[in-house]
Parts: sequence; C-alpha cells; structure tokens
Amino acid sequence: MMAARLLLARSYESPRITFTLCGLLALLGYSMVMLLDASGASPSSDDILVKVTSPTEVHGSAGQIIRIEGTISNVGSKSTSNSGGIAYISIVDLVAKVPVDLEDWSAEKGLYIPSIEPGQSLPLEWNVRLVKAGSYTIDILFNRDSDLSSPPFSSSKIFLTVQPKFNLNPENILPVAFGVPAVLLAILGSVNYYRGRKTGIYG
Amino acid sequence: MTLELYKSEISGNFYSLRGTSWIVAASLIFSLVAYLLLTDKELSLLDQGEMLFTLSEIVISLGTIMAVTSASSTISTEIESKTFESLLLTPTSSRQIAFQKLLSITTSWFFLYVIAIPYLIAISNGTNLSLSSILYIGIYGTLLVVGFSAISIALSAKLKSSKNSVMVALMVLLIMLAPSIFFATSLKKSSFGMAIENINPVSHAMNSLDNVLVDNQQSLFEQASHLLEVSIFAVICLAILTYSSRRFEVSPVV
Repeated sequence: MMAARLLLARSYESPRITFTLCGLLALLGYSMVMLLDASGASPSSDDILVKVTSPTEVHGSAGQIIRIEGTISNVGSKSTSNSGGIAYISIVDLVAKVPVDLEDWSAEKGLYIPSIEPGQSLPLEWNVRLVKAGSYTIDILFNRDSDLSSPPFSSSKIFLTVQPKFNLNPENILPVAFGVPAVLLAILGSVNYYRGRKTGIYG
Repeated sequence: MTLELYKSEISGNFYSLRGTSWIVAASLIFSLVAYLLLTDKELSLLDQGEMLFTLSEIVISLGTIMAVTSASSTISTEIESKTFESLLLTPTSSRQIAFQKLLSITTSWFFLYVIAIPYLIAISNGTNLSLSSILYIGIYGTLLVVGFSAISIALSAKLKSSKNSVMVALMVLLIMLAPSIFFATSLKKSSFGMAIENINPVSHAMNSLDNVLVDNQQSLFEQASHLLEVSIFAVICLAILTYSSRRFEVSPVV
C-alpha cells in the first residue's frame, strides 16, 4: 500500500511514470478480460469422468499379464473443441513408496484422445505385465490438452498384489551353482597335491 | 604319428593348479548366470527354454573366446620364446604340429562343455529340453571352436606376433558374435541384419539353438540347414589351416 502510494505520489511528479502506470493498469485489465473469456470457452474442470471398469482388487503372480480397463466420459453439456488429451496409468509401489518405471510393465503408456463429445464415453485399456512381487496401486489419469496447468483427472485406485514366481526350483539350481565350483576346486587341488607329493614338492 | 605335442599341451593345461584356474573361473561364470536366472527379478520371469538359450549363448561364446585366445597365440608364442625351432627339429611335420595344437584346444573346449552340463540339466529340469540342449550345444560349440581355432592358428603362424594375432582373431570373433549378442530384434529383421545373419556361422548356431530351446523344434531334420552352414564354416577353416600349415616359417617378422 505504501509502495503504491509512493508510486502514485511519484507519478504526479513525472509524466513518463504516469504513462507507465496507465500502461500497467491497461495490461492488468486486458489479462482479466482474457481470463474470463478463456474460462468461458473451455470445459469446466468437472466435466471429465474417468472410471475403472475392471476389478479394483487384482491378485496376480510375477510374469502374468493383466488388463486394466476403464472409461473416460465427457459429462459436460457444452460442445467444445478442446476436450482431448492424454490418458495414462500410474503405478505406485506401496512398499517402497515410489512410482514404478513403466518401461518393463507396459508397452502402452499413454493413449492420446483427440476429443470427447459431450455425453460421449470412450473405453480405455492397458495390458500390464507384472514384473516384480509386491503391493501396488494403479490409477488411470487424464491430462487435458487445453488445460495443462490444472491437475489431471484421476480414477479410483486399483489395488494390485503380485506374488513372486519361480520358474526354476532353487533346490535344483543352488546345489549346482555352489557345488560345481567347490567340487572342481577340490578335485583340481587334490590332483595338484598328489602330483606335488609324487614329484617331491610337498616332501 | 605320436601325440607327444598334444600330450604336453594338455598336461600344461590341466596338471597344475595355475593351468586349471580357467576351469574354476568358467564354472564360477556358469554359477553366476544360474544364480541370476534364479534370483534376478527380470531374468527369473523367463521361460525355462529362454533361460537355457541364454546359458547356451554364454557357453558357446565363452568357449569360442577361450579357444580363439588360446589358438591365436599358440604358434606365435613358440616363435617369440624361440622354442619353435626345436619343435620343428622333432620328427613332427608342421601340419601335425598345427593339428595337435588344434586338438588340445578342442579338448579344452570339451572340458568347458562337460562343466556346463550340470547347469544345463539343472535349468532344464522338468522340461523335455535336457538332452536336446546338451546335444546341440555340443555340436555347435565343437564346430565353432574347431573353425575359429583353425583360423586363429593359421593367423598366429602367419603374423608371428601374439599381440597382433590375438587382437585380429578376437576382432573377427567379436564381429561374428555381434549380430547374435548385440543386435536388437528390429535390426536383425532388417535386410542388412538378415544378410549378415545368413552368412554368419555364429548366427546360424544361435538361431538354431533358439529354434530348439525356445520354439521346441528339436529334430535334427528341422535344424539341417543351420547345421550344414556351420559345418561348411568348420570345413573351410580346416582347409585354410591345412593349406597354411604345410610349412611353417621360423624367423619372426621384423
């Protein structure tokens, strides 16, 4: 307030500052008009609805491929041209409390939707390969092209539990993995020792 | 013809703890691979056929690398250490020297292969792939080891320098291994990749193992074209060695 008064007081002192102040006020007015105009043109923030249609609790084992299905609907009444965007899934590891890198989990990370007409509903589908055992949540998210600064629309969560899977039996592998080098060392060491004794190296 | 040189090479390779350290190292590599196939979060998801194929690639790659390294210095080391003259003074022809050295390297491969068999059996347990994996790895490994060793011995005798012959032989081998190990699937399916794979014996061996272990095409008839290509490669390499070993020169290149 003090700064504004000071500025106003000074503006009387110089015609150049008066001109600058008027320019700033004009810009502010223009921005407010544009903002009002923009909010009128774009769909409101609650006209997109993302739903999960596949089961919301999934139990699987590592290596299995599951299908995440959902729908995205434009429940607004106004016909707008900028209701398109990108729908994608997000997987969060509940144990490590970190989002999962989808590189190994799903080849189809994002689905681009050019536009959704009012009242229209589109199916969404992802095939997800369960890579690692653990507990996860999966969300379907939608980011609208015209409104990148606002938070994405999200579905309800899918709770996923992945059990470990062993294609190999540890009881077969571990004895071989540890046993073969040990047996070889024992045989070669013995051969070397007896040969050394024969030639007099070990007395 | 006696096999004195072969016996002396083998005794050098197997009768001392230092000489046999490569056997233990090879078994540790196989153990590490088997352990990773069991415990790694991504490798453990592979089917048993794919796991066997992974191990078979490692067995053959390790065998050929070991054979090439050993063969490419076998004559040049004798020349550099000035023991080759005395070797030539024995009643053994140049060709016999070359082929006895080839036989000793093939024997080393045989030991490596025998060490790999318990791992192959353990990984293929519960499938019908045990015998096929052992048979095909044996056939392809032996043919490739014989072929690459023959070329490497010829190179070693020609270049007379261990450093040069080892480098050249390893480069040739790595170029041959590259399509199977380093090429992505998309590159393999391109016309360039397919052309390379058609003329490359290592690719034929790996693709055949893929067919046998992953796609379950186990009969010899189904793999006849691959077997023929790899056999032709081995025969050509043996012919090159036969020709180049008709008379060895002793004096090193200055």
